Amino acid sequence: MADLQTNGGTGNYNFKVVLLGEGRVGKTSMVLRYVEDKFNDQHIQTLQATFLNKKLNIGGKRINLAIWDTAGQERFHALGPIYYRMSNGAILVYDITDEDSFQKVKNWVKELKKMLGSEICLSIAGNKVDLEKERNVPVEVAEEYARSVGAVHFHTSAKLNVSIEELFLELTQRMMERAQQLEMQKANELTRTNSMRRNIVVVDEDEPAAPTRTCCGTT
Amino acid sequence: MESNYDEDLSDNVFFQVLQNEFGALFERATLEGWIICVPRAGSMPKYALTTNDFFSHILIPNDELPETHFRTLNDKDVKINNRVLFVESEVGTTFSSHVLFEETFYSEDMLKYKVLCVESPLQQYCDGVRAESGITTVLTLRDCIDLLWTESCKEVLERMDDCISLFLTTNERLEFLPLQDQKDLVGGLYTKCLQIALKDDRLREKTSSNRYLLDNVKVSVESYVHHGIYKKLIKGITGCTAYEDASFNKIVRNLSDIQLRDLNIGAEFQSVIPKARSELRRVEGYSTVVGKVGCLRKTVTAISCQDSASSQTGSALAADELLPMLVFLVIKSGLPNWIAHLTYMKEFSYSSSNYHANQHSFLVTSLEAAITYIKDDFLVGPMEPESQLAYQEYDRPEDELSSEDEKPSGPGVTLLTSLFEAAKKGEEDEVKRILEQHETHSASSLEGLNLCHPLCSCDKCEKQLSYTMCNMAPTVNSCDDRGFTVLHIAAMYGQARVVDALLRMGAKPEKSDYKGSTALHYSCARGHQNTVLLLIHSGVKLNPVDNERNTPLHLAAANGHETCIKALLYYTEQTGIEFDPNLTNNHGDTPLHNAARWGYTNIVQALLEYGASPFVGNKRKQTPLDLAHNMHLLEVLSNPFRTAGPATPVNISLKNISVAAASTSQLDFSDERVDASPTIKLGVRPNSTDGIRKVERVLRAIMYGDVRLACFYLSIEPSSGDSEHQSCHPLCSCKLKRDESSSNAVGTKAKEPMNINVCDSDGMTPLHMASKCGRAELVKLLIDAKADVNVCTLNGMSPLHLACLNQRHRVAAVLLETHLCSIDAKDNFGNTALHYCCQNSNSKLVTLLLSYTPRIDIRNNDGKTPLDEAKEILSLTIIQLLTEYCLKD
Repeated sequence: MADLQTNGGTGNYNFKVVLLGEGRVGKTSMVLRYVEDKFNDQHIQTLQATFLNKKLNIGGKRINLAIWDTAGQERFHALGPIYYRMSNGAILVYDITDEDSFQKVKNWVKELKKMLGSEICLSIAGNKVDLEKERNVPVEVAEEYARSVGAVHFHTSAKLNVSIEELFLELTQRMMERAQQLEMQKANELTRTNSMRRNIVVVDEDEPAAPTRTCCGTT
Repeated sequence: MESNYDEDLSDNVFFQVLQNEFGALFERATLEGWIICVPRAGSMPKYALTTNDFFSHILIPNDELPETHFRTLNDKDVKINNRVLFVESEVGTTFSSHVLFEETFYSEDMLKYKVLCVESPLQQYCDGVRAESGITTVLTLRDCIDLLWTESCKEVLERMDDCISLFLTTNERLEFLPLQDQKDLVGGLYTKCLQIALKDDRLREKTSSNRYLLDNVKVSVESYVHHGIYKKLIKGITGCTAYEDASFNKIVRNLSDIQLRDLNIGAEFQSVIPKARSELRRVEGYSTVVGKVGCLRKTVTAISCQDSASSQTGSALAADELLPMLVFLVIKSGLPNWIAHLTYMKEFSYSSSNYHANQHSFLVTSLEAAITYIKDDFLVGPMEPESQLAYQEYDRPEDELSSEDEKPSGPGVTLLTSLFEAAKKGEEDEVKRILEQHETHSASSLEGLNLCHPLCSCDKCEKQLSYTMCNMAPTVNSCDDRGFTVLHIAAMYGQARVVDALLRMGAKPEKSDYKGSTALHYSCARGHQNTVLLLIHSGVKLNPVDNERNTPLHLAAANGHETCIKALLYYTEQTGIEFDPNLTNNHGDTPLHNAARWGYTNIVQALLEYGASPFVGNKRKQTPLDLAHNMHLLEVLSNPFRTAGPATPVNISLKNISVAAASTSQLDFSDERVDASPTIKLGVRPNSTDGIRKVERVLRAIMYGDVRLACFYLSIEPSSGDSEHQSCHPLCSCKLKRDESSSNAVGTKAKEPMNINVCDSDGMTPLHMASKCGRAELVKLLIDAKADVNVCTLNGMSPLHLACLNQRHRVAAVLLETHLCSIDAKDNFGNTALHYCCQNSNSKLVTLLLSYTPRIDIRNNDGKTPLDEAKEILSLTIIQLLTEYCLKD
């Protein structure tokens, strides 16, 4: 895993981020809004939003975000693992006017935790806050849930460009932290093979599981 | 242009100078949110980098159109469109530069600014020298070779060639190894070649400073290796994935009628399908992973092309649309080894593993997802062609509006629809109910309609039409606007009970729809063995051709329905019907071509056993051997006469088929039948050519009245009561001797006594034949030898039926004496034995039958009771007999 994240020790990161969530909650619009930003969508070369790259440079560290949109319809649910394997971050999107889509997010979280442990950084986005009047998912419920699973919750609107950039930026920073931890662990393992749990900073109850998993993955 | 170009801007001289020497300008730009353009490394002339140069590379967004229109600090207009920067120069001419990538910077205090890396400087230099484009993207094999050629020297390529040919000779059996071993070996070769390339001084020097070039070199070397060993490697991979590919093909072939709407894909994608599909089909032709993935990329681009055509703003292609489109295209692509190609792309890409999250892996993953989706049978239910039926209904209202005048719509059409619906769902009773509606109406009217052309509007026809409006109940042979009869529908959905009922109601199994396909075609294409068996046993032609000259065998072979193939082949063997498995369709393909193309090894084997030739060329001069794409298949095809190995398993499976055949006849099809015989009993079919021949001999003997010979064949004592039959058959000099011979190993015929209930292809058992030909004494013998008196032919006729039909009074008496006969049994025409007696006005037989208290109220398929039959031919004695019988009751 570490090979993917750090590009040969140059301090560059390659992160894979998947967008998960039911169809029509606005995944595609979110990613388009984020990547387009200043440019209109003619700017995107092949006019396809299923896979987009975004280059960031945070405090001198170069990050290449590969953002994978996934098919949200229920009938494609079983294909999830094909898409989200090896990803560093996941953004789980629901529509605040649609209670069902929030339930879907819960299912996805459960599945991701099961399949990837806590290797993956999670963000939950309640999209379409421009339709606040029709809200069906209470703010407290959503935020409480996000906290309980160690995810960060954002209230977004792809239409009005609310919190989209913050969402991706925050996730990127967390993924960087996670990657740095892994590097440090790796370094520690080289010097002394024991005491694997010392460097955990992130507040996540599942965290202790991470080191053992990743050291197997770092080949 | 595809830009996977990347460089670390912190190493870019231009950017460094801007940050360090023009700090104030840089700060201002970041604070104001201006965009900084950085020419890629090496594109800027060394002498430049004056203030003006920086001014021309900082863009201030336009107030009105901040997305696309900008102004540089030295007052030039700049437009950005589709990743190209257009700069208006002083003289009014514009020049352009590609945007290679965009990088969003966040400083320590989270101040955000944007940097565009551009291909060439935005300032024209007077000497007009523009640095040559140093950006090579390796997307094709050609690019790869060019790159290696220009960046290194000829020797490198030659040394790699040597390495590859050495690899090929040392690993001659590469294709027979397991996949992981192949992967490791090829990986080793790649590493070796990359070492050779990087040993070259020039290349080593360049790549050490340019990571981007290094990546490209890696990809190039890998592609060169792929190309060198592709022929061998792909053989090995297809060998490993042969089984998976065959089962995948079977699913794909059976979904081949799928429509866009089955996958919920909008009609706007219709226009891009041909282009996208032809792009995707080319996957096969590329020998490198890079090429294949490039092909996927082109496919995706082709799919997204529809947007630019239909709307200016262009709604982007979302994953929700891409995935179903790929599923659709894979199904329609017609490639026989998708799994192998996918495995190749997934497993044999060594260089790109380091950028795992890139577009390359996204494309491969998308293909994998599409293939998994198909493979896991997610496409069931509405995706089957049955959905087309539903569309027909959607489409219909419009058609009807336009053709209301000439088309008798209303109850007839809807009844037909509901009849088809019932047949589809296997609601046998409903089908019968609807069909009987017709019978209760007057029968003649529909004929008028059938004779008349639908468009004809002469007075006579109009009159007839309006008359027939009253009775539009569909008959068993009514067809809809595609020429489907209800039998087609039932066969298509494998509703064996319905098919059976329909055949008994007199449906014509040979009838073809407008595509020329018979019910047998549809049954075979969809793999419904039960219906196939019922249809072939009803005596249809086995090799009808549709408009494309496909026989049912072609369709079953193309769709991988092994059971149907074996049913057909076995049936021909059993009945000795002349059957040519080498018929060609419009493309010149034989069934063996189809089976070989899609990799169904078992079917290929079965076809070869039955005389299919692997050397027939189709119209493209391809033999089945040429089409076979995996080694197992090639082996089977190139040794068609190696009988010992494969022959036995095939024979075993054929035996299973015969069990299946028997079990279909035991299916409880016959709710309609009278209580006395709730199930039809068919005779036992022999399962070898030898057996068939023996049955034929027995029946012939009976027909010619050679009772003793028949008895010999059936190994029953010629007679227990009649002394004249005590002696042996002339062929056998004495009884003892025969016994000897029967115990003799050579005399297998006698050793294995023939089942007394054997039958031929029409279901005729010896008892049937004896009854038909009036061999009363043999009938008695057969019954004594425990022959079944209620066994039926394929027409549902019992021996009693045949006896009555052929007016064999003595035989009928013998049969009835057993008291085992179900006297009220109906045959496929709905007739009881009494019906036949009445039809023949044989009062003697009627008297005989009546003494065994039959039911006389049974109606046949024409709705007639025996009494009706008698009245029709004005047979007064019988009418009297029947009325008396009625009264007596």
